Amino acid sequence: MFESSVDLGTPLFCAFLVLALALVMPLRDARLRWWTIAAVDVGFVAALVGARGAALAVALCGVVYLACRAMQRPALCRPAVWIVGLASALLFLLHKTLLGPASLKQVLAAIGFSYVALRTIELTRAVYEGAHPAPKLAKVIAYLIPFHMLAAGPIQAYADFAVQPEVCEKLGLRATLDGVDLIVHGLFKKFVLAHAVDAVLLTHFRQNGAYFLLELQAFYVWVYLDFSAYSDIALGIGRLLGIATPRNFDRPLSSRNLIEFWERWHISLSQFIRNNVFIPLQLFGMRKTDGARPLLVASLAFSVSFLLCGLWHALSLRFLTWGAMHAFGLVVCNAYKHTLRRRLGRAGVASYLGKPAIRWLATALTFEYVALSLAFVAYPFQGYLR
Amino acid sequence: MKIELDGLTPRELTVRILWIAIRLLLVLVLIARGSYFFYQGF
Repeated sequence: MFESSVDLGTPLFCAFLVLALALVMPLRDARLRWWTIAAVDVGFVAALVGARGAALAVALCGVVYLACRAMQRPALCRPAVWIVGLASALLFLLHKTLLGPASLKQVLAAIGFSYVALRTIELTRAVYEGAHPAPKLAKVIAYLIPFHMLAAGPIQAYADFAVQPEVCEKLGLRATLDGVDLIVHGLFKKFVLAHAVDAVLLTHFRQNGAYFLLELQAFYVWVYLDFSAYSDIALGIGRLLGIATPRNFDRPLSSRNLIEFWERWHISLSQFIRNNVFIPLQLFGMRKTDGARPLLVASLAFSVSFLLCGLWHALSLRFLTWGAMHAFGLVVCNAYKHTLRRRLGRAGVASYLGKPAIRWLATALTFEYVALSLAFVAYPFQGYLR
Repeated sequence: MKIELDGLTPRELTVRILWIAIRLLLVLVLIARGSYFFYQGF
């Protein structure tokens, strides 16, 4: 149904995977290793979208690298450097995405603009706050445009990237099998299971009535299989190359409420939103209200965070509505949790939620709500929502 | 004497490799055919 711009089944991707494994795995010198990883990443972008696309990606990395270096100079005004560096990097990408020629738009879509943009924010913020020193150029490239995470993330937290060892230990048999197993598991999910659901059950929501309800369920399952497959493959490649790659899904279909769902679905995105939007907004709101209105503040923070999350997926009314549905669901879920806790107490809530009937009902409701929100994104609407 | 390779017994190792190979084979067949086998048939 929906195709990613970086297709993991193509000979190009497989060739780069083999090349990366052959070049990077034996290296024990840290500097050489990171430059080799960066070269493979740039080479992949070049092979995918041409020299112009690769030059664009390297230019972006250069801007971010210089901004990070400048932020470490005490003589310069750090907030100004951060804002200017971040804004110029993002505007550069946004300008080319929205106003550039069609070929360049394809380039930016292919290098996963949205993921690169969020990683840019992560990196510059970490350096600005002094949590980590400015990285070398090779590491900036390896962090911003990792070839194995361009297809569908994860959006790696810079803290996770920065703390990994410079040179990974030599892989044992068990670790190698774990990595290969993850890659094959992802391929199996994408090319066999997701493909089966797509071919047998999905009609792009062209059927109405009872079949629409069936397709609603199938579409959610398909999105999960396809999306999590990319993450499994990225995780497996990361294991083999010794590059820290975060887990992005943790059985989200069995979530019992929307808050739990966002702790299990696209984990790296929800962590990014929590750290960069939700918590700063919540802290700001709590300070403004002297902590008197926690529920209202949390509700506003949820709303802003998920409306932005919707727009991050695509600048469209469709995704704004999807974000609004999740914001509404999270606000209701949080308020319900709050009310239950006030009425029943902590122990009472735990006992109530532990009842099998409640557990099943909550899981089914969460599943249906998420499925409905996804169908809203994919339904062939006419007019404004097209 | 118990033989182990990186903590894996020969039986565990064989099962893991076979499971990987079966899935990979299926994936490769489907990719090579370029179309979905439920519709096309093998």
